[in-house]
Amino acid sequence: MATYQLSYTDVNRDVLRILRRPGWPYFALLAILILFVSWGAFAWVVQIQRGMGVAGINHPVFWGVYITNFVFWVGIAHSGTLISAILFLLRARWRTAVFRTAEAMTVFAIMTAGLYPLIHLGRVWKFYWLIPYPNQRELWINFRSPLTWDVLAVLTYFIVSSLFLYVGLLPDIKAAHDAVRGWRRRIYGILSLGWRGTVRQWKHFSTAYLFLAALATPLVVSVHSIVSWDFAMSVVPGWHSTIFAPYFVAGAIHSGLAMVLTLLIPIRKMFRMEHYITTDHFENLAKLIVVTGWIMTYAYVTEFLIAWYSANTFEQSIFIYRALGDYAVAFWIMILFNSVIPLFFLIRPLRRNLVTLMVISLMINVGMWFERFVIIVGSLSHEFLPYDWGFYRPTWVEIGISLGSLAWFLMWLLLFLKFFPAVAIAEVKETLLSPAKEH
Amino acid sequence: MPELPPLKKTGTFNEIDRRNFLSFMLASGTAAMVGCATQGPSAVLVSNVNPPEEWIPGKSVYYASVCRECPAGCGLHVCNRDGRVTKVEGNPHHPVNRGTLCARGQASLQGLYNPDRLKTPLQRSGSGQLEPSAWKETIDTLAAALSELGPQRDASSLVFFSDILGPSFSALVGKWMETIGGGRLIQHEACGYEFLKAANRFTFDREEVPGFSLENARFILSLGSDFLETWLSPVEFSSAFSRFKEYQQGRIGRLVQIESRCSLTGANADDWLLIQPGTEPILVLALIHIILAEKLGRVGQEDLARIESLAAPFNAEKASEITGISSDVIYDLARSFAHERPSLALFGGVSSISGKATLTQAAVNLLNYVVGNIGETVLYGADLYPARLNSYRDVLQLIDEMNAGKVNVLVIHRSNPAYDLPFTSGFQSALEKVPLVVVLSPHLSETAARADLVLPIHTPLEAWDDYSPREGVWGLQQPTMRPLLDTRHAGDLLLQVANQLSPRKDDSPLPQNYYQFLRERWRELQARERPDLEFESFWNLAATGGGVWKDFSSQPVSLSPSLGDIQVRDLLSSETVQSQELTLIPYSSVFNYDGRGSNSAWLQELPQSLTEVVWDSCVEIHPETAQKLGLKQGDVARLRSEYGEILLPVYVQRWIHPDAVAVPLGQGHTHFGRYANGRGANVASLLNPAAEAGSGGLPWLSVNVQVQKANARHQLVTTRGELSQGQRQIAQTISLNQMQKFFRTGESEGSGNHETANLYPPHQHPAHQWGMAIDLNACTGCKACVVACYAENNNPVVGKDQVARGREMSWIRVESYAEPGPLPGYTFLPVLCQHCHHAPCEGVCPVFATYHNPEGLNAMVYNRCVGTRYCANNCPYKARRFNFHEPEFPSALDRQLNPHVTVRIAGVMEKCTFCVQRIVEAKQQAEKEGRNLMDGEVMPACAQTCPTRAIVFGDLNDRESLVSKRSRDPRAYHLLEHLGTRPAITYLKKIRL
Repeated sequence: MATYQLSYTDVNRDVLRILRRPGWPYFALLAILILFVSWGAFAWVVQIQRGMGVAGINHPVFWGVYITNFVFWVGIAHSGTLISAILFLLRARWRTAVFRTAEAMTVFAIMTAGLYPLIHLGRVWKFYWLIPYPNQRELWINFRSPLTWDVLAVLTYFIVSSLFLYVGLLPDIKAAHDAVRGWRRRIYGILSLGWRGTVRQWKHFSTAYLFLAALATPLVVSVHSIVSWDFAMSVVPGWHSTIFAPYFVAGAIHSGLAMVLTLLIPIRKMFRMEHYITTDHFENLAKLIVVTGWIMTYAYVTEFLIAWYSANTFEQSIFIYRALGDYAVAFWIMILFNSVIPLFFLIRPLRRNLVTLMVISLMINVGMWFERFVIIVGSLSHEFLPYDWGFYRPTWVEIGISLGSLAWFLMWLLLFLKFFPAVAIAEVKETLLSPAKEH
Repeated sequence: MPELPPLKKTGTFNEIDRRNFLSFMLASGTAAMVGCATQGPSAVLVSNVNPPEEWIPGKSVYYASVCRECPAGCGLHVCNRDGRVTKVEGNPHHPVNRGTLCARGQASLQGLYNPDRLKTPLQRSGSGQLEPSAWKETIDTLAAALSELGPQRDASSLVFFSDILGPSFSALVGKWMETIGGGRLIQHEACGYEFLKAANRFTFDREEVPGFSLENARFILSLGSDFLETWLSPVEFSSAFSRFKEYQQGRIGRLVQIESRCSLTGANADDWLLIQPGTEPILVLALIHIILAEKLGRVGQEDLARIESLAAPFNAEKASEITGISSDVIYDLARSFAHERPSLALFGGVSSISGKATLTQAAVNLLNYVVGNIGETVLYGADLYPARLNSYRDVLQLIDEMNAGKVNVLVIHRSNPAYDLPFTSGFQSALEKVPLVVVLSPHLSETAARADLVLPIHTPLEAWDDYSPREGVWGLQQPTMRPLLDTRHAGDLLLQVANQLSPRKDDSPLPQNYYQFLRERWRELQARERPDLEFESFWNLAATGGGVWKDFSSQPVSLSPSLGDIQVRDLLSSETVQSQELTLIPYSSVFNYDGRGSNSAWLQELPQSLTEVVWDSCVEIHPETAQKLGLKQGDVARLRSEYGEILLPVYVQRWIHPDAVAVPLGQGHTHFGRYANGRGANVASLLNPAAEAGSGGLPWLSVNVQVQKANARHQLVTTRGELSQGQRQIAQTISLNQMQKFFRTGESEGSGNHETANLYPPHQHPAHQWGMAIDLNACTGCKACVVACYAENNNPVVGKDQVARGREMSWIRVESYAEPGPLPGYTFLPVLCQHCHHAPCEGVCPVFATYHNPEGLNAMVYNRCVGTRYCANNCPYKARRFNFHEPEFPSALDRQLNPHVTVRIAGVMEKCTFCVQRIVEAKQQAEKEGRNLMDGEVMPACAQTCPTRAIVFGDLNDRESLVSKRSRDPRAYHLLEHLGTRPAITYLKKIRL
């Protein structure tokens, strides 16, 4: 790997340099993001005060952009764990440079996704009724409801991925602690939980990390499977399908990988980390995207095939509607961006070129968002009774909240990059020749 | 409790009658309430601490009364809870409506609690504005104006102009005028039936409107008669129609509707024929011609010869050429009409009253006569209400007198002629020539806005009165609550004015108040009809029962000697129609009628028949014509007639004559109230003001219009997604052959629920398992159930913008499906929560806000709902409604709210509960009386009001209940049965001929 020429000192210097006081572009970007977050918050306040009616959702499309965003962000969250945990267990060493960012992305994506079940509630002030806790009213939640599974799955995923991120950070926080002075040093000191880098600590650290990686791995599959069951467990034509769990997991990874690319390319540029995150890393991600793209294509074809084969008029009508109806544009964006465009990564120069990587990964992000939109809105608007067919169009409130949540995600990521080492110092060092051998 | 007079049988609903009957309150209680009428408006919601003896807080008390939303005069049972009227229902004993009500009847509550009701009298001030005034002042003004008229005066100097009045009120007006020195009473309804009266005079020398017995007919030929919507007595006819369509002895009745625009009645017809507008008489005469030519007539030779001479020139080929109906069809119609006896030919309705209406009706009378329908399906002696109305020509004469300055005081009672009458009749400008125009109305109107004095009167639900829609039916209109506002009884006002003019003496012909007058009149009725009873028991009987009635005897008729005077020859002279012009078909719909109820939010939000347009009006245009004119749905079209022009959005409608456009009555108000103003346009501005020569009626269908595209678009909101159901098998039909086969062989296509594997044990329903059966063969799509549901369950209205987003809150909706083809062939499908045994909504709710209760209801706990809306997504019937915004009930509509039903807040889901509050009420009643619930005792609001009794509710645990029997019917099926939801609602397939 390209890092072989680096020394341990170089690694500490390069990575911790990012934590220094940022320049004005950083603050400007942060300010813009906070502005967007505030706008989203304002839209939410309006919605709480005036009722869900300020959003575009209606009868029969009771779920719209909010649930689309929820599924999208849960999907984004997936590649983080995939890269950090699964690739860790598989000893894919190229993950070293990128996994920290991917893990942080996971946590923040869940924090974003987690907003949406709240935002979409008609009575958000009663959100705690969704949580099973002993109460005087002797009320309990319905464990048959996929939404309950959803709450539990997402909460679990949030806890495990946060722990995973934090445990992995411990040695690097200590490194940051050693590199700074004053109050920051004190905070890093507390956050490092007394990490001293003794052999015993390393031994426990390795075990804990392995354990958490093993715990997080099934979550990659289970969380998005459960999210998909929100749809698959219903009777809605276009939702009620056994393919949904693997279809959604693959989709999550597809979008997650694309998001990792979308974020890493500018981060690498901003923080001058070309030594650590190399084109090889990007190429590997691009290859994975080709694979997940094929899985997506397979799922799309299967959906249509089954609808045709079932001879079920309701099912068939939904898929004809998706391809040719009101949301045909969204549908064809989905097909083009998720299935066709990733095929360009089969061409080696294109998957090593930063511009094409960036453009294609952005397109996949868009395509995956539209996939969720097509699944949700494209089914609800044309259900069983033709009299009740409807049409959905998001309002400024939904768009404001969506953009606000994107800014919310980016804001946390930007703050994280400034406060914590974005590349795992300790693990990068493992890939280097040890200083002893150098001498 | 006194005994009721003999009542008509109400079939299987006898049990419910008794139950309602038991909960009546004696009329004597209300007499006391009227005494309070002069007190100011009350803000007290909770009634007396020590209520009257019969008055139990929280208990529903029913008062019998009469519906005055149209002249049909249906009987009411009005539910009063703690002093507030919260629901109106049909009076099960009343011979007209037998317990049911239409959408407008249900919405009469919104007239009572209308937020735009007048709170004080208005008087035109010096500056020309109508300004609030005190009662004393306004009455003084009126009395002064009347006393100025002087004793020696022309009868025209005082005119009392009213909508149709009951016998007592019209007698009072007569006496009143007599006492104060003379005057004239004009009773006018916008939708008049002058042609019916005149034609009966021409053909049978009887100036009356006969009764029609649809249920006795086997074959109905209806020429534009919208008897399921507004024609004469729509609730009565709807009920009769359902019996006509009932499968009995291997057959069902056949309705052929011939019209130029498909009405709701046409949508329910077995055959529907498009006819060139205004050519009906030619068709009818051709039918007579064929019947006579083929010797199918059933009357004496002499009569036949006379009729023959009239019908002779009208052969089928000629008629076919003019009407656009093929001659084969005409032959078939004539033969069917003569063979499938008793048959019945009907004509009328705003959309078909042309300048030849009298002639057409005369021909229809003869058609009924020649095949011998008179006395079987056409019953003379019934003397329906239109005979009492003045003709439109009388109104034109009044306008002339007004213009000539002969009318000094014009009192307009409840009527709205400035809106109803053709604008070019000049009524509006003639009003300015009248020194004093007084309007007695509960609310502002186009007429009131032009008046000098506006006196707010009680709505019919607050006032004593009586009404007689036909011979032998005397409905007693009882006040059902204390007056809501500082209003007066119109009769009391007249009496007060009279007393002010000449102080009352003991021998005065006028009593102190209208209540006394009414009782005197009823004393006379008692002496005539029930001399065996004491008056007080007669009165109590009438007040608790809603009136008194007896059957009328059908009388034979004979042809009038003047029959030969009917001029039919010139019918055949071909008219020249200008190629650029289209015939204007005004029509009155079951919801808007003549526009008097337009300020009801319920009616505005109700999707119009067939178009499903809400909060709006539109012009219906045939697709080909629209294409020719470059018009698309939602484009604004300019309709210009010789008399005026209006702008209306286009609705492209297949079932209309390509040479015609149709515009509904009832919208286009300017001074009517917040819900009605500024919606659509008033078709009266296009109409020809000339009266029809034969009858003096208003020929609605006599104007051609130019239609142009105006450069504008208008958002036309409909609740329908798609008209065709494709292969979905949602609204199912069965052919008559299949039905016959089933009853011959016992084979059916199979129905009932599919047994599906299930992880969970089935629900147990130890006590009751509530279920419903909806007969699609009976449902006519009148949507009375929808309004009843709004009234019963506190459903908010949301307005046009929100309906555009599909956010209407109706728990029950009437879906309609039709397939592309030569016939409209609509099937109406009321859809509400199906209360599934395996409800898809229940499993997905994370907080158990919805669950299956032990009586088979899919219950909804509003307080528990957090608003994930997952249940609504997962409901295949889309029966659930979400509160996207906080509901609004502007005062005084909030007083109508049913105290037994929660008002839901924003953010929670809601849906049909099978009127669980009624189930609870009935169970409590039964428990108190120590007995079991009887079948039919519990009735949700929709089933209660259904004019065709298409909806039946009951306990599925009871194998003998009507609903159980219906769910075992060979026509039974469940909606989306393949999903395995096992609904508690069974649909019965519509029978197609």
